[in-house]
Amino acid sequence: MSEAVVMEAAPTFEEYVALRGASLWRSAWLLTGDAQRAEDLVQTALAKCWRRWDAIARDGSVDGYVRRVLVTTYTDWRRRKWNGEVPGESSPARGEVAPSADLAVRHDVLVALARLPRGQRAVIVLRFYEDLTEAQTAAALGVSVGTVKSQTARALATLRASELLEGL
Amino acid sequence: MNEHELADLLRRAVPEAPTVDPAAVRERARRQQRGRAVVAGAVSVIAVIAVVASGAALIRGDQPAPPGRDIAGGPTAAPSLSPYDVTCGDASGRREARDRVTRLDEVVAVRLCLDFDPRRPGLQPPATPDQLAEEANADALVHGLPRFVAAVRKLPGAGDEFCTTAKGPWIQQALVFRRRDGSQELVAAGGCERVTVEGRPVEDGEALTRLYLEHLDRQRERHSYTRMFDDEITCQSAPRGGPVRPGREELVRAIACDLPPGAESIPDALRPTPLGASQLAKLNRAWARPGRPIVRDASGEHPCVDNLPEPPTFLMVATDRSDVLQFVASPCGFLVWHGDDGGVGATLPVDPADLGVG
Repeated sequence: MSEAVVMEAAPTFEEYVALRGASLWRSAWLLTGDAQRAEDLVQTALAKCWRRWDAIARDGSVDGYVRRVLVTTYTDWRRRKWNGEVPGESSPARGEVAPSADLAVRHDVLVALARLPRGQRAVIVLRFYEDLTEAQTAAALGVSVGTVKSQTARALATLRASELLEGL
Repeated sequence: MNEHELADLLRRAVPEAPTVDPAAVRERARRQQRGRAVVAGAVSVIAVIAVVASGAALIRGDQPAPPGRDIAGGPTAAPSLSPYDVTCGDASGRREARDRVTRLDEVVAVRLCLDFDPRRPGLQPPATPDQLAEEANADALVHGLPRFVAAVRKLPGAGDEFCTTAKGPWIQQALVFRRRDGSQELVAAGGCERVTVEGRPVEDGEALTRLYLEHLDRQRERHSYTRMFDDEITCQSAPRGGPVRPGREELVRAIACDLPPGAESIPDALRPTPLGASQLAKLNRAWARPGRPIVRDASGEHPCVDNLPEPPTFLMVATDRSDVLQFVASPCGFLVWHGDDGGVGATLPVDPADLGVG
């Protein structure tokens, strides 16, 4: 879930990554469904931001900028390697150490998310994991609020129809 | 499952995050910059100074613009400009489309957006889902901007014959001109209306839009970019999108809509038949070898498409550039595409029976 960055002065790149890196990775994991792809996505997005960090920090909207770069990098058609993969019936995500009940949730959530087109998946992550408003989600994705509403409705309908998330 | 339960599930699903190392990110960014500079140097054989200039330009071009404010008041910066990087922003920020482009220098992208200016007739928010989808999925002109700018500067000036060349319907749309520094101007260009470019009144908004579509067509011809179609098409969908040429855009999804006898409109409850992969492949093959378009005679009618005894089956089709097209089945044994705004259409040597949907 998103935690706002509260700093007196504009954060240095190192400060920001230290504070927000893990949160960005969690969102990237929900987008990609894979730990290594999530790391690759976060690093790529942050590397883009690093080159312009002074200007970004001066503007005072670091979170919004970085989030936008992250999701547009994910939805960019040229970066197909970050397409979510549908996990197999017995292929839990790598590197996890968690109670078995959470592993089941994790698997079913990933399978359900993998059924969504990238744009809808990004909307779901931003709206319901990052807890952004429709307007903030629209700004992050560079689309209209109307598109966010329609994509949200379609994504929710798909997730509800999947039955994977019922009873978890 | 309600929205709160979904949020809870997402939180429970996410594993522990690893530490993201800022030094590793910095090193990655430096490697990418070095790599691009090397590529720039390798391809330039003119002079050392040219290598330096091209490397610097590449590095500059790869950097995302600093955060700015777009016409909707949101962040505009794009990490790099591909045809799908340029957005229109929220409708609430688009109520003041202007009638002039103050300067064309350093324009890095141009695209069409809906014009929500309440002073103009026609479209008012909320737009239809088809209009919003068209806007969300539209590609921008990002290649060959100097050529486009030169053509705009050569548009005939507005004179006594102002608007006499406007032929199409008036559409509430605007062109967004984005410059290198992130600033942009929204210019109403929906039809017969005055547009002033760099202080010079030009023919009309439709001429400007037509010029834009010609250059977008050229871009589509020369650059093989695509956008995954992730929208929904129904029998009620309206054709939309940019300039399309048979065989150039790939057809990625299609549905067949079989109208009931005597129907005079498309029933809301009409259920489409989706085309499978093999049917879509057959349709793409026909799309790649189109026949002559339908040309109506002086009566304005053609026996293969007009005054048909029964309403025709039609296909709604999405392309790999997120356009939506309509192909109408003709009793003459082919499908008819009536073309986009700038084209004359084509006939496709296949009919619904060949595709197994008729």
